[in-house]
Amino acid sequence: MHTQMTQYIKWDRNTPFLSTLVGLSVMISLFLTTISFPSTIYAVDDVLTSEQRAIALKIQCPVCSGESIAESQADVARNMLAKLIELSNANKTEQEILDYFVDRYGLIVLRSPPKAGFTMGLWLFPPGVLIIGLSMLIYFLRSQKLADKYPVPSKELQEDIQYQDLIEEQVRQAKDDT
Amino acid sequence: MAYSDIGYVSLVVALVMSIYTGIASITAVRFYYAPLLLSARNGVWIISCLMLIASGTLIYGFMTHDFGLRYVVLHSSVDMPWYYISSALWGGQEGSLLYWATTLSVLAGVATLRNRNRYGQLMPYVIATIMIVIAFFLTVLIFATNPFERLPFSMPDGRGLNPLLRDPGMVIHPPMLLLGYVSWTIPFAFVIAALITGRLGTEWVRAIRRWTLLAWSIQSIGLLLGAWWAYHVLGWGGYWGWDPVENVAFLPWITGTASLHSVMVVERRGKLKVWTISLVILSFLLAIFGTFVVRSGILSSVHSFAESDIGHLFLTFFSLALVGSLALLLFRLPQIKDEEGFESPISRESGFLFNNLLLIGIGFATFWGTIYPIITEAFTGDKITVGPPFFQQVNGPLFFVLLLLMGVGPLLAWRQTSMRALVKSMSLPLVLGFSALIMSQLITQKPFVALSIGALVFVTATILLEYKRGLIIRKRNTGEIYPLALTRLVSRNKQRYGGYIVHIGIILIAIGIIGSTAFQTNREVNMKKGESVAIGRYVLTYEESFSRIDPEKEILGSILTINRGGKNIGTMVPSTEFYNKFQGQPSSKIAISTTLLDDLYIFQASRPTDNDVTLSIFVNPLVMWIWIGGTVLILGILIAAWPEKRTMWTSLTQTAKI
Repeated sequence: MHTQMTQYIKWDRNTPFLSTLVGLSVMISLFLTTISFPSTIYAVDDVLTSEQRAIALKIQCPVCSGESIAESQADVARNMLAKLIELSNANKTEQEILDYFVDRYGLIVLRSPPKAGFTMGLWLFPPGVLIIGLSMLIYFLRSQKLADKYPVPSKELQEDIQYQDLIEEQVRQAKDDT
Repeated sequence: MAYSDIGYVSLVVALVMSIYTGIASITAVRFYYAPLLLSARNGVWIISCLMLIASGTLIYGFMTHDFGLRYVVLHSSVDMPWYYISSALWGGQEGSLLYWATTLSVLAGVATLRNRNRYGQLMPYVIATIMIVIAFFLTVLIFATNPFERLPFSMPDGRGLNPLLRDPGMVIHPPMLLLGYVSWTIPFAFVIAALITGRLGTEWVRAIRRWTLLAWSIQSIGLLLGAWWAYHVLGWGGYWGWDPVENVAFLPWITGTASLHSVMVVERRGKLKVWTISLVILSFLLAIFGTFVVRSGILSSVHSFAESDIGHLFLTFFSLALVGSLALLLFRLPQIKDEEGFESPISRESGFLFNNLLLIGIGFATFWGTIYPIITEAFTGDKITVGPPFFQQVNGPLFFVLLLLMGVGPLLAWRQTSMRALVKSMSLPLVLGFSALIMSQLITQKPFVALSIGALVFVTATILLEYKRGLIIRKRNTGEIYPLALTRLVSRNKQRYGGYIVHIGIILIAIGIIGSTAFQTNREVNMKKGESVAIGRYVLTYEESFSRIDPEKEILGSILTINRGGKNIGTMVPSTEFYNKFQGQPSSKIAISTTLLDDLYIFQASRPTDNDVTLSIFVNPLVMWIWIGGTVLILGILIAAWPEKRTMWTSLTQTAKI
């Protein structure tokens, strides 16, 4: 019974299921090839190059909620975008352009606050909390120390446990129904 | 006396009733006095009726264009079509709080009705807890932000509804999100009731699981509709902007997802009770936080919060709820006994613990990023912005690990799994995942995308294998043909296989998100008549502009013919609407052409003149899969939550057969 149960996961058995999965991944890959076309056949000039847009996406429109100057249609944002294009055409680097806007409007225009000064706290806390959480979780699991008392069971026992689970589930559902 | 006083009086009577009902139901259970309990139950239903009357009164005010009512003046106008009345109802602070209280009272009515013969010891406290929440909202409505406030004189016309809100998505998305917030009250009330009575048995777990699933489902639908609305209306080619209002709606959903998983450990193994209780309490508190952040303006600036008329009331209620439930939890802590400990770190229950850790990590990062501007302003006086780059950078890796765990989790057995068995059952998905990873790396040259695709293939494979394993066992034991075996397999284990379908929905959504963020192309071009522009597999030709003047607005649009892969597929017409009453706020009508592969998404970045227009053109790959995934997710929820019809007897005989 046990061998029957696990046979299907063997790699060498060429089941229709396996070929479906392979086919699926091939299809996904084909999908991706079709969507990365270059796109400059026609000679209409872009108002904004993709590099400039990438920078614009990092700058917050100071009067809008939640929109960058690449997205916002507010006058301030359109003016800032025009300035950005001007600076970029004058061969300023991304950092110089960002600094230009921070000088004039303050930190509020940076959508990703600097990893320095007071805003360092923004970047440090989430990973900190995660690490503390992880250590607590590991400590909790180790404090249980039950793994020693219950050594990993044999195959037969494992199946027993699964079977027992199945029964438990059924009984629980039966309880639910009444 | 005006008709609108009926609404106000209903609120006042409902407040008195809610206080009475709360006290009556506790007194009844303390002194074993049944008639009082029946009276309290009737009280709940009467409050539902009163709140419906109050909401109805406000709707009547909108329908009859009663511009003597301040709220109606602020949120509607004569020229507004009738079907936007409902979005006007929750378009402002007073109305949305009225909606909150009304839906909560109706939910309370339903919960009381459904459980009239169940949870005898818990229900009185459940009712009392809900009554406290309702009483708070009624107090706010009556004393701070009365929706039935009359102006000293009647205005000739109202200010009208903000053009952004004039969209079918706006009729349905905010009420869903608000309802999601509201419905967290019920599982919270069950937690409080269990803490007071000390009854944390199986019946309680079942109630928690059901109501948590309900709240989570409504919130999922609300978030999906919000994404859909943003994509079709806001005009930046995206569906999720990590905006504070979105973030606070996301928070209870994330903690709710965690509690949905941990409650399974409580149910199956009698463990993690305190943790699950804390998660439900946290979700409720975050729902309150969400409601009040949206309405108080706290996140735009510390100062606007201080000036807000309801900020203090909410803060007080929030703190009381927090302190109260914490105190109750600490008081009960010694009596809450988990069953025997964890057998092994490699088990289903440990898997859920790691899932919870990641979800809480995502929740915390989102919360932290959302409130950090306030912290910064309070300490340094600087105004800062925390935008999508932060959230993507911090949450991205966590989502990735979570996705992987979604593949490993179902393979872990309860109690313990040997490493060998785990590796064995993971081998095929792992091989598939790795080949997908390598293939996508070769094709796309983007490591992050390749990793995500590898993970997605891995997870899909494990879920399909789970189905296959169940099917094979079932077919062997019952001899049923495959289609029958599949339907029976799912319908006999709805929670489990419905859950897997929800996971498949999440995978499809992830495909859409990865595709559209990694491969989005955009051009912003100035076009003259007759000119063409190419983007992706599309070529757009600008034919002409048009303008139309309606009574309430002027519409300026441009007509484009679209060619996809060499074939003409018709015209698209992006336009901009200028409402007479909102001159400063032109509203973009985006033109979208959707296929399974990509969306062509066009909006006017400038006002079109006679011969030229500036267009922002996006090709957003695979966005359609987000909506498909959302539908699959809802389907999965429906399967998982579908009520059982079987009896104890049939279920036992089935067990015996197996």
